[in-house]
Amino acid sequence: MRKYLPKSAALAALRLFTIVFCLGVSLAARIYLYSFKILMLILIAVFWTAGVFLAFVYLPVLFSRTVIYISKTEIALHSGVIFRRRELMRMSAVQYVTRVSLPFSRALGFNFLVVRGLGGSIILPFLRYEDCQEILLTLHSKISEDGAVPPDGDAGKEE
Amino acid sequence: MNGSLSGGSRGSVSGQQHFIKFFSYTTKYFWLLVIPLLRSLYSLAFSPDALGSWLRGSWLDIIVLLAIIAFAWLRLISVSYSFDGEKIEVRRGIIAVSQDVVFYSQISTLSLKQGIFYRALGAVKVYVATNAGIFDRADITLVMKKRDADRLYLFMKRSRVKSLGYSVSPNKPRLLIFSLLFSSTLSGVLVALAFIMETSQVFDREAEAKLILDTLSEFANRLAHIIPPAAAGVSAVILISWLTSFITNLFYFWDYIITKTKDSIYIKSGLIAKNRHIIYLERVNYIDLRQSMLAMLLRVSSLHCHCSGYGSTGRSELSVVLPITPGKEVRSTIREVFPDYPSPELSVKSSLKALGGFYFWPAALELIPLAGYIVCELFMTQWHSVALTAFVIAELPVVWLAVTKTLSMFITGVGIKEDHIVLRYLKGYGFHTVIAPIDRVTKVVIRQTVAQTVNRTCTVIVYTASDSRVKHKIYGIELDRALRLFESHGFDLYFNESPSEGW
Repeated sequence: MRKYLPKSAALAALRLFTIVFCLGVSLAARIYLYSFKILMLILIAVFWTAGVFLAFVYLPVLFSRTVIYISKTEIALHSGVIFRRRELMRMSAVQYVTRVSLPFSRALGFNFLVVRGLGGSIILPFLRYEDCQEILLTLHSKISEDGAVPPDGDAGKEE
Repeated sequence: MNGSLSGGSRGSVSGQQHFIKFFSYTTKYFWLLVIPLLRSLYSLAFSPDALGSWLRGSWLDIIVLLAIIAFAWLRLISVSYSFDGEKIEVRRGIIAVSQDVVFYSQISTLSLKQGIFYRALGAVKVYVATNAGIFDRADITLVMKKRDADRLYLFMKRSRVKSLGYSVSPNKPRLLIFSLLFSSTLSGVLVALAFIMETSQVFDREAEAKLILDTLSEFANRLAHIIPPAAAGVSAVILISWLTSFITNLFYFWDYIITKTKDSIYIKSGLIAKNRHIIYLERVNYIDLRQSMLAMLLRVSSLHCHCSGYGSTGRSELSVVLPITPGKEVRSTIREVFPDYPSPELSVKSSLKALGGFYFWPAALELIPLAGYIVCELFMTQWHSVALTAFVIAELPVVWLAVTKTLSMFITGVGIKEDHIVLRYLKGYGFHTVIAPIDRVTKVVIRQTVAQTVNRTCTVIVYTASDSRVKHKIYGIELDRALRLFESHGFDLYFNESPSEGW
């Protein structure tokens, strides 16, 4: 069984995005809501409270609790902040995999794998590029191994 | 846009979608902008002044049009695909990139569809469906160049076990007669509505409604000398619907051929629109023999199969394995194509104790037109003849339903044989005989209404494996016999409420 953790650079990037977003909102409120001072201050306070909570409480806890286990028979994802979640998918149920990569994904860890299985899917978030490749390779080799034509078949022969 | 082949005949092919896909990426407003713009440009005197005034008057429309074209173009070039002898990969997006990799071994159904326009332009709509997900739709949908689609079909075919196949094709004169007899008016109405919905994306709704009303009123006027206008209008709708259904069925099944190999079914069909499907036999959830009442009396039926992606790629798409054919040929096809499936024999049939329940819906539905007729007779006496005609027309389907329900009492039932479950029931106006491997049964529900509790009967609801919710309802089975049948095959539906046992 292999254990994978989310890339910490993704957490840093998300924190940075949150702070930049809050700064942007504050600036916009300062420009457009200057004549409604109380509303402006409430909006800025709400956004900064939510931003600080997200960046310094929610996301760090989420990242610290997210663990992915890949074995020969199962894919497991442990995560959750308020409610702990343990998702498990049997390897035999996997149909195909979608890989989603955002810009600068190699450096920032914005690599996601959506494992599509019978009746549902499981999202493996914020993977290191190398981990993403490794999991993809493991899943693909497992799928092709399971779907291999039995030896008595003559698949692939030219017509 | 060109696909490229590398590494010999067993190498990989890569490419981008056919240019025709560009038009489906534009919005319907694209045409609403282009046509007036071109018309105003065409009506101009060709002079620099006129062109300048045209630009000044239409600059906003031109910018919007260019933006639509730019976005559609970006969407078109952001999708690319590649495939080899083992798998197909599809990449989408420019900034955020997603990549689907589907191995052929996981594909339940590969469908290639070519309508008349696509045939003229050398494009093919390709649907790749696996058992993944919870929605009954294709996992990958692409518009490929015909050459690339043919290669994908060949690669997929090569990935399957190749063995001598069994082929069957319906007899054409018989297909013509059966299509004439059994084309469903309802399905015709659905196809016509789908057609109207499609055209509404381009044409104005008012023009469309006017066109239909004009056609109908002209038809009704001609018949008005013989039959009342209201009846003529309804007749016209039914006739057009029936004709649409008939032509659609005939064109779809004209060149129909099914070939079965060791692990797959290959289906080719279509006179004008060409369709090809590869269905993985292992992924078939159940087969379904469908009959209308007339078809049942004449001992003919059509054979359908339920497999992810098959029959769910278009509004008028059917999951047919064999179009309407005499029962003897259908049974022989089942033996050849689905050799593991037993003959449909029932262990438990519906009970006469449930007689009243069979007529519940016809009785309830019969009250609606009756109530309408009574209201008209009481408060709108001048509408007497119209109300009477409408009442008779509305009662006909209800009476027909009561007749089919009567017949269904004698054929409804459940059976389990050779690790397969057999379910025979009436749904709407159609009779279904479903045969499913027992391991595809995901849930069994025994339901009892108050009346059923009194007469010790029940409704058996069987859910079968699917990427959407599929259930089969068998009404009027004796409760004890149903429980015993399912218990003897591993479905323990008894429950013990004894407090001594506890959890």
